[in-house]
Amino acid sequence: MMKACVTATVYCLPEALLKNEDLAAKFGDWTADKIFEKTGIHERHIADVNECASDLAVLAGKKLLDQELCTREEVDFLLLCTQTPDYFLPTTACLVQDRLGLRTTCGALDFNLGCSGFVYGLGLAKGLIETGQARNILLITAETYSKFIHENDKSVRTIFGDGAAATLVQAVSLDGNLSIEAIGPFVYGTDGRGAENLIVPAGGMRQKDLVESAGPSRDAFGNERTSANLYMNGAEIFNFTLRTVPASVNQLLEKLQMHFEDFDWIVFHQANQYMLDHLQKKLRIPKERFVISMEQTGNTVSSSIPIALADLASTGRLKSGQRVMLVGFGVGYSWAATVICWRAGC
Amino acid sequence: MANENDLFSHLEQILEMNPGTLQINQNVRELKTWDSLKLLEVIAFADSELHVELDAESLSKCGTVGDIVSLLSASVRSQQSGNR
Repeated sequence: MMKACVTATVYCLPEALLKNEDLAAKFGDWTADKIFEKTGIHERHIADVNECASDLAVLAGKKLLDQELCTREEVDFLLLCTQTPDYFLPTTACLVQDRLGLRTTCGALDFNLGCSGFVYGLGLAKGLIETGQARNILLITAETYSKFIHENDKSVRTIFGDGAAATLVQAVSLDGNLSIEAIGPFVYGTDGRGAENLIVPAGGMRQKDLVESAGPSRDAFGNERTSANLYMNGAEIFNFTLRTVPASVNQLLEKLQMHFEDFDWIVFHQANQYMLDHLQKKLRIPKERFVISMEQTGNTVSSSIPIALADLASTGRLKSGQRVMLVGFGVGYSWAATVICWRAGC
Repeated sequence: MANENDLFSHLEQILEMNPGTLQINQNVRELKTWDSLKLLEVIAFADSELHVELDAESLSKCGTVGDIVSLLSASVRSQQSGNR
């Protein structure tokens, strides 16, 4: 029986940079060093006005295919996670299929998730492979949140960056040992009561047009936004994280009858460093196994976990056969946790 | 630990104020060090040191340092009475 396995992941980032120095010059109240101290971020990559999710997805996809672990013709399914599609329709994955030159007998779909998207994507890929529907899946996360962000909203401009990651999930034989999983088990969670705490209110079908005629509103911290811009209630999100992440991680450990020391790496969604540091201490995760990887990218939403994995792999720290816990959480609210055995059976 | 003097001292540290310089009736929004990340720091303090979840909406409505101290105290009392 074939099992789904993560065999490679790469990423690409837009060229334009938003550095702490740029933010310090614009907003004035924080120095560049202070911004880094508070966020753990030096710079974020920002998509050009004409650069969309499909463009980043194609770049990442090409980079992955250049590794020649599988040919274009062998890719039989494309999963694209994005909350900033090129169009409402058609599906952005269809555009990416065409531009990557994937075969027309390849399945392709978009799914709309943010910070939990990569882990959900692994669940979808595992389902497709282990039910015999696919063998070589391109799981791409591509996000351009910057296009939602008001230029005078410091709260989110300091945090979010754009980027795309492409991950190859392949069917592998694990020598007939059905008790070994190369991906899984999974813990999933959803709580729509948190919907309004990370939201772009206007532009979708619920509110197609802006209602403000007097321009953007300003919050208590001086951040400006319209209903077409990203709004994030950081305090509510933090409370959600503190409620759900420890519980879901413990649920995963319980399923596996394992402890943190049984994992080579623990990669959480790279939301912001302050939150990650707090979670690491709260859960008593060994610091040397807990990955922080956002200095040069910021929070890239669904791409943050695969970007961290790619950096671990490209620097030689992530080795074949190593066990990695992945935990995504955020917008929705939505969360998911899983374990992968990197390049198992390869 | 829910002694209001201790809570006040911890808030002094979170707000990056020198000991003895913060007043209980200080409007936090007038402090240069008050920003959206300070909300996270207060929540983190409540979580790690007091083991309570601080209601984010109530915290955002706090005007003075005293309001935050009262909210922290009330959260601890509520937790303790819930545990009985």
